[in-house]
Amino acid sequence: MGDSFFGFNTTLPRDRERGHGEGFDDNFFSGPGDVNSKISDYAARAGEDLEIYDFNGLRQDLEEDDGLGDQLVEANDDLNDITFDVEVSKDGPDFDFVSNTEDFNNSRISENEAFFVKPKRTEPQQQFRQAQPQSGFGNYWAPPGNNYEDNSMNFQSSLHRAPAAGGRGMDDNSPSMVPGSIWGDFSSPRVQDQSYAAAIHSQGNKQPYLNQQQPYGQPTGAGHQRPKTFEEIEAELHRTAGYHGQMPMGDAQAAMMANQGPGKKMLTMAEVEAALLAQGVPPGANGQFQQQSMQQPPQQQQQQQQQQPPYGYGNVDPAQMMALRQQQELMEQMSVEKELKRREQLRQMAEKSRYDKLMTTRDKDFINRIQLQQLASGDPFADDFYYQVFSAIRQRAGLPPPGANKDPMMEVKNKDAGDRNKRGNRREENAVHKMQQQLQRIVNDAKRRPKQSQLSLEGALGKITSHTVRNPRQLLQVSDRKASTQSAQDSPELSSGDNAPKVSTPPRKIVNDRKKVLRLVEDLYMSVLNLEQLRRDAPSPVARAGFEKEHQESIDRWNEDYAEAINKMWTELRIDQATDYTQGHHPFLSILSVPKGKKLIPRIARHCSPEKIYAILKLIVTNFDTLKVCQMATTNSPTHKDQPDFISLEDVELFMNTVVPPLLAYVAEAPLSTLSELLRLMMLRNDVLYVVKSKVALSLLTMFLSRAEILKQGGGTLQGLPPCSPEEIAEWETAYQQLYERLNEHFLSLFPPPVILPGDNQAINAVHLANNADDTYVWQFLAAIAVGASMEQQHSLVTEVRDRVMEDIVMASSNRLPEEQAAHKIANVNLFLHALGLDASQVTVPV
Amino acid sequence: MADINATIPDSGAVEEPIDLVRLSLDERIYVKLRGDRELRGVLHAFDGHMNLVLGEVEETITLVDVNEDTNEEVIRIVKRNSDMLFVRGDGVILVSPPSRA
Repeated sequence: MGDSFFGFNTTLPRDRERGHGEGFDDNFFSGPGDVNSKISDYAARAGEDLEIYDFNGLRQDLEEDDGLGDQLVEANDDLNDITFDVEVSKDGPDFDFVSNTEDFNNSRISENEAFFVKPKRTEPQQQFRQAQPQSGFGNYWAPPGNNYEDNSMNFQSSLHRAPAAGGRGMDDNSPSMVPGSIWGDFSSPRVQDQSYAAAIHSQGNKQPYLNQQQPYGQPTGAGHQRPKTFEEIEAELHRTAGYHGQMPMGDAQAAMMANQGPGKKMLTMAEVEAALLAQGVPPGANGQFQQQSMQQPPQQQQQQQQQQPPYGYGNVDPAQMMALRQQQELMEQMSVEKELKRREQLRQMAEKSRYDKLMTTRDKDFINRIQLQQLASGDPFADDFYYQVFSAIRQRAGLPPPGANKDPMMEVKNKDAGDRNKRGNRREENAVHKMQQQLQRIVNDAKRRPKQSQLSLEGALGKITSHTVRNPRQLLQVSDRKASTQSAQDSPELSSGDNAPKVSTPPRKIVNDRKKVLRLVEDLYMSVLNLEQLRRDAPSPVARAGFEKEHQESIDRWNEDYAEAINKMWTELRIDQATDYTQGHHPFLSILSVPKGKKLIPRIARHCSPEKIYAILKLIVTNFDTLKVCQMATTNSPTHKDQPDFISLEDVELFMNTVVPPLLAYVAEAPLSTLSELLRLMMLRNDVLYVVKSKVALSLLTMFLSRAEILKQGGGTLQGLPPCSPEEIAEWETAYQQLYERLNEHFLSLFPPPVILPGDNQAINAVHLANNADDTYVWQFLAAIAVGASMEQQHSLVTEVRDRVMEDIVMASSNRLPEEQAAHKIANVNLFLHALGLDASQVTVPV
Repeated sequence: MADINATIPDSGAVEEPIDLVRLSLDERIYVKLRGDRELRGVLHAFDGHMNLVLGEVEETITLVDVNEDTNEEVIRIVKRNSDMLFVRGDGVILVSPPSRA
């Protein structure tokens, strides 16, 4: 392989041996003359119009894609050497070796690799370069006039990269080799004298570095449709060398003297060649080169070296030389820096790409699958409940789902899609779709094949337990009896709802036992959660095309399940159970006694039909006095304002916020007869005077009264209800009168007792005042009752409450209260006064 | 809060100790921990490892300082309040409803 390398190297001496001026002139200026003759010669032989080979024209033509280029190359491949020699020299700039060298650059072996893999190669080469500077190769560069510039430039630039990138050649030899040859170009007096040559040379030297930045950007040979292989080039070069072989041999010495530049070129060419060789390009035609160079008599070589002045600038003006040298050095440094940087980049890239294509797509898919398997879930609500609910909530709020792009599956998806991004959206969608399919498959697989948690290896004693995310190491051994006893325990409970006789048996034990109540609540939670899950799993209302029947079936099935679940829950609520007063609380009311029981009500109500709500409401109203909220509220005495009472306040708030709203929603659409019924029940079953002291009861009553008033005034028609019949109104009036009778003379007791706190702590006082101020619901009730009252009733009502009204107004108008609270008090009073057609401003405050 | 129940198999029966803990969901409980710590708070969530999420927690830490000279033991009690607390299960010794004293 080193052979061809010699071949390249050996071109040098001939150039050098040429005479100073003659060599140059011959090569550069006599060239065109030859060229012309050759052109005509060629034209005659090829029988084609010369215009076709106008490369400038060709380039334009090719850009227009008229196929002329094809014609040229394909028809006359065998005449390429002539073509290049002649045409290029005539028309200048268009023989482009870059296209050829690009073959090498594109060849799969990187320069780095080439050099690191076979580093030894370069050293012998460099030795040879110095030792054997003769070959016919130089002639290729020497004769062809101004095309020399382009050729050498392109060729050298692209080739020059190799040794530089390789690192060895330069580092090892730079002190002796590189500067020597480069300075040779510049310091040659001939070169300076002849501006043309100087231009050529300096360009020839600079360009390589400039070009290095964009070696691939070079236009890929105007005349070449098909990039040439290295062998072709070499063969060509070889032929050319042979072509000119005899002619310049004679004055090789002179040429060498004159052309330090070409000499230098050849050196770099040699380096280049080394790189190419190291890349393992088959030597092909190089054998001849080698032979040629080997045949060179050794004396001749020695002779050359002796004759060659060191660095080749014997006659140069020292000052000029220095300047040039400095300039050159500077350039050299810069380029070396760039070179180093680039080399480093290349090295890193090589490092990174070392493992390219190690894994096949199958392998990657496999790993993807393993990773996704951990994430895949057939039942996201069970496996990732909080995330699902959270994202659902966020979506409802119009926010993007949390961490949408952080979702590992999405990430994989994005990455996958990213790879294909450039190929357009369709591909991307396709990839996403594929990924989804794969996911689905994984999920199905996982479902079909339950995770093996144990495995026994052959020859091993016992079993090995494999732990995974889903199957963590078990620390607690909990018996599995539950599953079996569950069904046995469930069935009597279920049947108890259907069969009346059984009803009375279980609940008795439950009553009054806090633990039992809690259990009841937990059971209910299970049912409610089950219901909610069912709701989420509800089949979509729109059937897929072609699946209408299945869809209908699934809807029916779901409806059945849902109804069953609701029944179960309803049974557990035990609303329909007869209240056994001897046993104390009704089970449902005991549910309401714990906070979480209260919190359940809105969730239950969501699944309940209005009739069921009515049943709940009826039950609450009927048993109001046993309701814990009611009890605590009424016994809330100022004298022992201790912990339990404080909690009760919170309890009441909770009740108002959770239990009341669904009931209120029902009442807001209830017909008048229902209201009368409820009101009567309230009075019948409870000690009204006791009950109404609680906020909850009063709020309920207010609800009833105001709704009834609306209905009486015909508001029901807006909701599609028939206008109230006289009987209904009469019924209501009776109930109302009853209520009024009971409450008459006791209206003032409705107001919550003033909370008197010991001490004059400012903060506590503020709380106390706030509490005191919170009698809005009483005023609301008074207003509601006043609206429905007759004139006399209103009169007595006002008489009774007047003191309170006055008190509040006076307090508000005095400066003892903060403005906000004063306004609040006035507003409260106005609630009542407006119902009577009065206003707080009409009341004169006695000063 | 009650959503925790979703991870617990559907069962209303009290069959094993942990079912009792379930009854205390959303209730105030008393938790005794290793390192002479006690917690009182509302149980929001728990799991089979007895990891707990508690709300409105009062933490009581009992510290025993030994006087180096006299070898006297001085018992100090430090209290801390947290709105929300996650308790890792391996420190839990006991969970119970608060004593109704």
